[in-house]
Amino acid sequence: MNDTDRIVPITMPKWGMTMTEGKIAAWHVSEGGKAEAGEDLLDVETDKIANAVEAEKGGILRRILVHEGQSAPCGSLIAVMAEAAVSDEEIDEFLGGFAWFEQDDEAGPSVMEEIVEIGDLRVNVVTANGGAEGTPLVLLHGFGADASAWMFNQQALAAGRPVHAIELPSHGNSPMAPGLAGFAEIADALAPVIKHLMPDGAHLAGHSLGGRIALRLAAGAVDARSLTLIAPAGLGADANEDFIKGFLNAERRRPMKTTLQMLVADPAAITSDMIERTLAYKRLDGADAALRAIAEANLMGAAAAEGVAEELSALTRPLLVVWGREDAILPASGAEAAPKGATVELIDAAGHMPQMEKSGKVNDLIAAHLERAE
Amino acid sequence: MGRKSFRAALNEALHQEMKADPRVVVFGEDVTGGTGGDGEQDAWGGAFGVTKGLLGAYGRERVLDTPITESAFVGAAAGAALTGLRPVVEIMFVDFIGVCLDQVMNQAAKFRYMFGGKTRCPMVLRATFGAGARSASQHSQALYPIFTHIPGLKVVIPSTPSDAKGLLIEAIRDDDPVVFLEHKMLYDEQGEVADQSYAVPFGEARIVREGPDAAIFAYGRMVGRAEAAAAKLAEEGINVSVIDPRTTSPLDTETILEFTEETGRVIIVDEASPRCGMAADISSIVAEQAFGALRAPILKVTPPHTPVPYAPSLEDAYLPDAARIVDAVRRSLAHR
Amino acid sequence: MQMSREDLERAYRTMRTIRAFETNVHVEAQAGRVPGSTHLYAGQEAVATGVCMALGNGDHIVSTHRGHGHSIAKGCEVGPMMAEILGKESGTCKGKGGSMHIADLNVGMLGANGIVGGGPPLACGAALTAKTLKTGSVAVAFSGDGAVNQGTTAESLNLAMVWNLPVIFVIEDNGWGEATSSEFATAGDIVMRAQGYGMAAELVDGLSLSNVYESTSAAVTRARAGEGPSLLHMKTERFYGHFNGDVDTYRSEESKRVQRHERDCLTRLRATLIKSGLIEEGTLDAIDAEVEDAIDAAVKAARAANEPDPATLETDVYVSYAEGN
Repeated sequence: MNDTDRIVPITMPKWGMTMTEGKIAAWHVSEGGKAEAGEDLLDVETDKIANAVEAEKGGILRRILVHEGQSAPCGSLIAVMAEAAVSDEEIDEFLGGFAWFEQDDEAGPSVMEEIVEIGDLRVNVVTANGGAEGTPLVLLHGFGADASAWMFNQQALAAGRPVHAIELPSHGNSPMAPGLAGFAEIADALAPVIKHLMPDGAHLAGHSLGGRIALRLAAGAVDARSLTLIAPAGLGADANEDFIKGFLNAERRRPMKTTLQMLVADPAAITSDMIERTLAYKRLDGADAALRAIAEANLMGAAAAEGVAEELSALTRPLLVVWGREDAILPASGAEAAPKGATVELIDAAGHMPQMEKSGKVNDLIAAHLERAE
Repeated sequence: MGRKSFRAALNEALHQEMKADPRVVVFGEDVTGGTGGDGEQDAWGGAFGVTKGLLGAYGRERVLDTPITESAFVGAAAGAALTGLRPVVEIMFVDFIGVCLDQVMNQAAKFRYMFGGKTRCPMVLRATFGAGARSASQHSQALYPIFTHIPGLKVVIPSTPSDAKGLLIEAIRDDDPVVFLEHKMLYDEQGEVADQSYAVPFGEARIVREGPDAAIFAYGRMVGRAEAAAAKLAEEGINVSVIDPRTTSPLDTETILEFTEETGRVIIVDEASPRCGMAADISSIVAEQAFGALRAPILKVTPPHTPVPYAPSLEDAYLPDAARIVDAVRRSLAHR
Repeated sequence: MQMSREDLERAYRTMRTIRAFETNVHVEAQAGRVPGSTHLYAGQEAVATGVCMALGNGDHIVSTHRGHGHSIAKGCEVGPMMAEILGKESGTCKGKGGSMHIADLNVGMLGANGIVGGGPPLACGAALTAKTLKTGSVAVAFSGDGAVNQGTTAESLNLAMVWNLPVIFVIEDNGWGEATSSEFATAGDIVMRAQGYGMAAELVDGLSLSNVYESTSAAVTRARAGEGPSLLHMKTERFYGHFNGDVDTYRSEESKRVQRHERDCLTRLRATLIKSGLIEEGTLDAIDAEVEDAIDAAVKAARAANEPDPATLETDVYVSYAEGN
């Protein structure tokens, strides 16, 4: 047995493109304590985000190297787990070969972004592990969001495969595309982008409005090996208009905070940075008009429901539907529309953003779904 | 999106607004530089290079060098704004306001009120401010309290490249006279700045950092120093909020009060002189409207009430630094 | 640039209106019905009238603390003006400006100005707008003999030349800067000052409507043709003291009596019109009566008008202002 099997290094995670270091907000397991696989080991925060880090394997937390309140660069060693059988000397030896402050460029698959141009359309694509050989996974975020909606998922799902988070037209770093508003038009516009990036097919996953677009794509234009829909629009009741209008009308921090808190089960999950980033996007010239057009075309009333039944029945590949039980934007009852044979998972203590609020759980579900589909 | 300097962010804002609106004109001393000479044109692009390249893009009809006559050209900006242009006028150092304050204080600021609300004066007065460049007493002041005191003016003090761009675009689009103050020591600061045009609204503070133990309010270059102090305190487990109000007029009093309520401890870092400055102003608002929330006296971290000195040792001692801010937070926390 | 009969009739009506207006403001001020200071234009009517007759509605003027004449000549309505001076809600500026801040941008009147020398830079700005947006407009800066010694005037003359602006500086020299004579306060020669900047400049008899009109018209033509700024030094005289509280003891009663009888621009115009047969006396008398009635009505309406609602105290500071959002 070598060290990598018996001694498990815990490193500072890297969430999203811009994170360079993180601070330990809290250790949930103390030195010498036991943790099961999937259990929260610690909370990490940056000036932008905060989330839990789970134990990948069960074991004893043998050594904490970075303590609460301290910061460390992404990829650097912050703790070591091992079974009781591993001696302290072996752990010291392991540490000797792993300077704790060392910046590790392999802190997860590499992430890059580029604007992909097909015809008139230009969209920004954030790619993790672009060089990998496996079947790619495409992520489509929801209304008003961007690729950072997948910050806790993209790299976690990129083991052995490229994961492309496409930023919808008029969203994130994709240029404003006035006139491209309805989910069907957006899907038609994105199909060539997906085919260009992934000529041999891909897994599709979409959240909210992105879920509606992903369904449309999977049912028609794109060779989807599997489909994951997270709180997708169109399956159940209409979107919460208070949220949509609140989002469209919020020009300042306080109203935006109230609005974004509707997205999650735990309002504390909405950080100042998320609010500021959302406002910064909404303040771009053209964003307001684009968002209003998209909301009008998809989210006011039942527009997103059109064609859902036909498209669901046209699916031939595995479907996973994930929904937060406390979703206040698109109620979880929408999952009942999932066709027979689909895997349906309702997540406790999660609102409209289960992939962020319960990222570990959702990552496991998606990973297993992709494995089944392959 | 990309990393850009504070200077480049301002330049991009000017380019984008001049392109979008033919009424936007730029003038001031050496905003191009070289006019009338036989050498390089646009030789300076402003004393700090902020307006470089506008001449080539928009020509001398819209990018005009002026003689060294602040009263005439600042007043001309006011007159032009009354009659249909949207001038962005630059005075090289805000200290020079002394020779032209009438045109700002008695003219531009007051037209709308004096004329019964029937006029608009959409002008932007850009100026550099602040100490740190060893420029001594007449080129280093932080005079924003003077402008803040004058009803009719809006006063903007960006602290990051991203805010510099968004706030300048907002200033140009605003229909009131705006005094836009750029700290000269921030021009080379780098930060993420979106390539697209965007406007950051006035009167909304930026939450630089959130922590429950105390709230630090700071403007301009002092924001970075407050952040440095906060980072130092965080190493000891003291987590403070840092708030940049971004504009002194309008002032986001709600956010100031919100963070006062949340932390009970208020430290204000102000590069302006201590008497009648923003530190004094924010203190009075907090004392008057959130007295019950305070768990310690409000503390001000400001320069002494002296002119800005020249010698590096003196100037460094003059300016609030992270150590003084850390000390103030500790003194606040010492009150139980 | 001869004035037609119609023009002359209009000029006479304007001058008579200014005179009647100022006479009534004087009465109102003496009676304590004017809350603040007011600076009367009576005696100088030919300047405002002659200059503004050479301008179009799209041209701009910037005025001075002695601005009622300029306002009337440029087309401001006398009713709201009188109400403004009395501090009433129906005033030109809703009672927020008063005598020294009457403005109406719809007729190109960019405001009276309480700061001596405050106006010339603003006129440069209005001229810059005209030049940049190619509107063909010109801007006129009225300044008194006191303002010529302010740095702003010197700076503006220079800037106007450097930028080749369509602006005309009208120096309305009534001989007194407040209570100090321009003989004492102004060194050298005002026309030569402008010429020192390379600017077209001339001395004009400001008591002669036709001289004022003709010299201004020539300057307007130059400005519209892109030939740059001009300065017109207009010699004139004021009837009253510097302001309504100035008992004007620095001029002898005798000299003031002689001035009013022998050097009144309005009497002079009236005599010329009658003597030359251009307009018969009866027509002028009828104008006088109409003007008296109009000003009477303005005074009565102003006296009767409401004071501003205290709720308006805090409005009109900004177009928009977010506070404590």
